[in-house]
Amino acid sequence: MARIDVIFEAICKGNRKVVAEQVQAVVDNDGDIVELLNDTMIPAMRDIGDKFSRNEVYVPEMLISARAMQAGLNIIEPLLAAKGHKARARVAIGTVKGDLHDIGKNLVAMMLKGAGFDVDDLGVDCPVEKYEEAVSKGASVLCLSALLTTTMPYMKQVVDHFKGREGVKILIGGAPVTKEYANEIGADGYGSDANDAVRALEQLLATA
Amino acid sequence: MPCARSSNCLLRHKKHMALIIHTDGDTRATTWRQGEKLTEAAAKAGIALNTRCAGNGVCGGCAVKLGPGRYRVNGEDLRIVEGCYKSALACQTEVVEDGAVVTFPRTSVLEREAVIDDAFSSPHLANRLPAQATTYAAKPGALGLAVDIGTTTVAAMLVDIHTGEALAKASMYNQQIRKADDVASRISYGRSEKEIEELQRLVTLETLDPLASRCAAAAQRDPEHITRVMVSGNTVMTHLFFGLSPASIGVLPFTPLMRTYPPVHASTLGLLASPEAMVEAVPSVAGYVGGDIVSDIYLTGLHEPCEATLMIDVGTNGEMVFRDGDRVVACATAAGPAFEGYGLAHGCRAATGAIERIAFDASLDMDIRVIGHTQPTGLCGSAIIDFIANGLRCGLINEMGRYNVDVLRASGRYVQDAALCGDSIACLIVPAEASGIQGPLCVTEQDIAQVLKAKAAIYAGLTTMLETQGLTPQDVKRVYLAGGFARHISLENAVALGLFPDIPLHRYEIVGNGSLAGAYLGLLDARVMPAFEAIIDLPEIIELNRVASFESHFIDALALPHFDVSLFPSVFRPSSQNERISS
Repeated sequence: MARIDVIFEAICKGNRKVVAEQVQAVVDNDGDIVELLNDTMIPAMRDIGDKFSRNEVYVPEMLISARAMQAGLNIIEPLLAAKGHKARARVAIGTVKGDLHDIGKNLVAMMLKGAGFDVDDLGVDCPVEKYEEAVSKGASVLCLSALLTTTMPYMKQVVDHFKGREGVKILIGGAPVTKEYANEIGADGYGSDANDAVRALEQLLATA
Repeated sequence: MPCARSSNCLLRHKKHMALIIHTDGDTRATTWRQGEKLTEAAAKAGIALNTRCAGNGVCGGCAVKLGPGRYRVNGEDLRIVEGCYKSALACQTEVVEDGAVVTFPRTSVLEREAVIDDAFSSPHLANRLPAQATTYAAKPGALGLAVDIGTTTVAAMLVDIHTGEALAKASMYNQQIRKADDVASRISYGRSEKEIEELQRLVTLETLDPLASRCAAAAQRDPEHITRVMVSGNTVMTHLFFGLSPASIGVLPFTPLMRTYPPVHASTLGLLASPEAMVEAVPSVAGYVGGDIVSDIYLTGLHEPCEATLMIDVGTNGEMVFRDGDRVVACATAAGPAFEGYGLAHGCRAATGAIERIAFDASLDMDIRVIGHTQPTGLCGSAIIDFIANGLRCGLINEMGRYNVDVLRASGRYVQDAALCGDSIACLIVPAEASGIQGPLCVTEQDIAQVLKAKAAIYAGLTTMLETQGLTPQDVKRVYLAGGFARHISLENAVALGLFPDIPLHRYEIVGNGSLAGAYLGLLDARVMPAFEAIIDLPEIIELNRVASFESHFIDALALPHFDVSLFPSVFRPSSQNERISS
């Protein structure tokens, strides 16, 4: 299936109503939803992400596009699961214990989904146990988010907990988090923003 | 500071020549540490440099002249010999060897004295004042000090507590800024007892005492006659003032160590006052709804039943309280410092040199007003609001906060300069030759994106809070705007931006510094403290991040003025759609 321009552009512009309608139309007409995802929806998110990296779009526009993308995914995700569609890899993402902020985390989750990953969103205020549970459900990478300098130190506890664990990588990010901090606590990767998180994750998996 | 990095270090150390800083009419020697930026070393010497881009090396606000010495600038070694100078940004410069000599131009140094608005007013103020002289039966001549402790600025007012007369007012930056900028980073800094003591010292001895002494001098009174001190501030500031650990406020469930603060003697804090003077604080509702908001509630009468009344205190955290009948709810939303001019390419605080108002139409002939009679050095929050609102009206800026490049180019205001605004494009506000910095002043698209996030946080916060009460912003009958920021903005432009609800403007009332007002009233009347203590149990706290619809409200509010145009019927909306994203 070639790219469906109307859906591609509706995602880029953040028009979630059009995205939902058009994706539903594909489903109703028995269109190939795997191709819809791979040829239209993922490229749209990638386009937004690349523009973000070039400072051609900013966070507000990214959030709006991500919400439109989610409107489309809400329709096809259950169908993909039923079809037994295999995503690139399973990753889990959550805001660490003590922190409630999730708008940035949700945007990263969306970008990861938009890059074709199977994302297990653990929500906010996640203790080590929650990440452990995600690993038992097959997550190979744990993405940790924090918005506050006061909650950021919990990342180290999670990293320490999984230290030396085969097949579990940890990627961290969030407003106060720096590359230096990631190195200091021994995290496997660091994403400076939502699009960089995709790059960091792909890099992690390539070297895994 | 002894050091092994330099061959003649001991000699230099003996001469106390660690790092020499020349400023306008002053020379200081200070210590430095390896890897420490010049901005941090300056802070230790008590000099706050203008780091409005948060030290990211973007704004050029901290430009300094490096004299003879060895440095690392942007990661590269630099040696400057005797008799030579080189310009550099302090936030990108490290000292490498003792004996460096640096000159800070006046334009790069933040004024120690903040020009903050400490005025307040409210139709309720008259009702709140005790009918006659104070009920404390203070002796004639007895003085009180009312203090608003803000994260950024501290305002003090010397009061004759026998007559209620305000004798003098003064304000300055909270000197804790030297250690950490915002509330969260203060909490992080105050990890140990030693650091909490240091933060306490900075706000009491380094901030409040100079203010008390300045007020006393202006009023020609003896500060020893101050017998009562009343402070009002957010919960973290109040904790640090009393030397209490704010750590628990930094993590869920954000519970403060204390909500009411036992009075202490001024002597225990070392304050400039009569040693027996009692120091009290307005109590706190919760970790992120503090005594400043309790003061606002008391001043605006929200502690008594009223109809659909909203109070908004816009700061780095936007706190909001809503009351309809008997139900009272409150929330705090992380607006960030954009409205305080922080984190913007050429943003600044509302001090001398700040552009405070901008007016223009489609011709982009800009009419600007600057605080003080000086060349402009930056734009403060009220000017940014004007700029975006006017830009939206005349088609310069679209609903996503992006420039119409054709309009920019046609007016000759198009700027694309990596050194000035990174990859972002910008609109020129003041050309280099007319500005008070060594370059032009502009507003970048990145700046506008920051403001969109800040205004969306406020609007989404109030929408979400009202939603929990089954109401919408349109249902609000009265809005009180507290905080110094609101006193200088154009309300019409703030509504056009989508910061505040689009309801008839006469429903708005600006009360100014309600926090200082609360401290003042608490000083005069013994019945006020019990009223404050009753207020803290009144509001139900809405944890916005726990409400599922908050994120969607936030995203809807990111557009100018809002994705749902029907919520902003009075705001002109350009018909041009956002074409740049899809191109």
